[in-house]
Amino acid sequence: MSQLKPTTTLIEPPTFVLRRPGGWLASLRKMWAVLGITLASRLAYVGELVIRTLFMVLILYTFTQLWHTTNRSQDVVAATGFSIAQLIWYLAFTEAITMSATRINQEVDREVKSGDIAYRLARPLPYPLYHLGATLGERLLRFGINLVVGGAVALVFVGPVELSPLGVLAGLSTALLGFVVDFVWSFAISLLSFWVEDTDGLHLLYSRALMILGGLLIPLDAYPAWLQNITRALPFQYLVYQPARLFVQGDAAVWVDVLLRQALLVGVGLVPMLLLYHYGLRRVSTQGG
Amino acid sequence: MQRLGAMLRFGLGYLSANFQGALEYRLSFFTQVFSMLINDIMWIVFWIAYFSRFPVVGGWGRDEVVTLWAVTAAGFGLATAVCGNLFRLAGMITRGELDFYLALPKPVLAHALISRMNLPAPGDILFGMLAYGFLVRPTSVQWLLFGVFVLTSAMIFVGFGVLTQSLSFWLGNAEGLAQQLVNALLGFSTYPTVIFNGAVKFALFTLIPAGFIAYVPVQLLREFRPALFIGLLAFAAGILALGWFVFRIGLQRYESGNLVLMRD
Repeated sequence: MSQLKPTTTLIEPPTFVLRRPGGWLASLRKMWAVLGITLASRLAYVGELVIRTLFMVLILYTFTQLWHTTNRSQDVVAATGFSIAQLIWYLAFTEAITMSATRINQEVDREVKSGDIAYRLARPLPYPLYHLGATLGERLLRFGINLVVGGAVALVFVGPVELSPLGVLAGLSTALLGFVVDFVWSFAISLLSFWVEDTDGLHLLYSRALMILGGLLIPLDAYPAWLQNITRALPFQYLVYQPARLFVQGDAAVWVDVLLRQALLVGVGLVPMLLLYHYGLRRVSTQGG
Repeated sequence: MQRLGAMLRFGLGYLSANFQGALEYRLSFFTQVFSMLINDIMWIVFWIAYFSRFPVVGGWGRDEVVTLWAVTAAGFGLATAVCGNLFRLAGMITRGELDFYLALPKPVLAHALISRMNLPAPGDILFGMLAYGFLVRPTSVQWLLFGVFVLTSAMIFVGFGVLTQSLSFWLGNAEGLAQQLVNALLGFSTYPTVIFNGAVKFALFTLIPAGFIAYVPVQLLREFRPALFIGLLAFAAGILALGWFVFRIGLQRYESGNLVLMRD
């Protein structure tokens, strides 16, 4: 009879995985779901979004007056290459783009300061993709409403302009890709809230750069030569001026070029964004409570 | 006179305390001031670019539009640096946050307005002075008048702000409406008034008094007319008094809550 030997039982660590985040395709599907949910939830507040477009009415009216007054002493068409009606439709489109921007910095600032970011990080969707989905969902709705209201107001103030189907498609597609470019750069600035207390000031500078250097109020063609040289060398034009110009003037030859440059801007912007995200996460500390 | 002196000391005391409070978060404060300065500079770059392409618009040139921006920005900066709660008043009324001020011996409106400072406001004041000094290159008399016009603009912003924010006494939450009206005032104040005509121009000297904020000062700096100058002073004092009067009437409708408040 063999002697029984004492045995030690080792508790094996569990081999199952609690959470399966999935690959990139699964993450993109989840981002798409966040986009859809955000869009659906914001639809409940369409009235409020329409009221916000009142400011756009004011701007369109003011610029209609400005261009008409300017045209009395100088030939606006010769100086800009746009008719007054085209200038106002251009402005309606650029305003629709910029007024659709969400205040992502406030959301990220709040999440970082309050520690709510810990809840987001625990979810099976990368934090930047969650915000991309939510931002695009909200922005698409706002852009749609702004464009309808802006178009109606432009129609009342200056009448219709000739829009080609290809130009409309080019304008809309570059505006949408521009939203992704804008998200990548805005989100990178927002991630600085891991280091600085408040990123409002930086976002203000970024939005002003979009406004002046991007051609929000008037096309870059209406600037003097020295400013045109500066703005055409900078990337801000691909977020505002180029989509609006394509929409109004429908220059199909530059459509693909604009899309490629926007894709390049997304790629270039991802580098600082991902670096800031990587190093920012090291500063997250969680406590019980 | 003694009471006025006491109020002045009280106001200066708050201004000093607000400024020292802002300096506690020095980096944040200077970032916000600098950002506002750059924001205003971007606008003036836009207008300089516009006027270098189209030199005269309705009889106005670059100097007029720079003066318009300098007076409006500095006036708005002065108003919100001293009365930082100006555009928060509607929300304070709705949420019952006036209780704190009602329990203290100082005048409620003045106390509520000055107990906070808008942090980026010094950036607006700085911009106004730099833009006017460097781009318009005024004479000493024009500097003196500029100072007076900044003061009248600030008075109009405060008077109009109190009037519109006080709508909350009657309409409930009027924060959104008041915000839209202030945006309209600011928007119309920063575009050359000469481009507007008809009913809109009439509205800019009545309902939304943007014309008195910068258009009249620009005209007076081009050609001084005593009657217009006195009219501007009277309007600024009048709208301030009207704001105070409407707030006083509205305060009788104010309903206190049982909210335990900690002043931020």
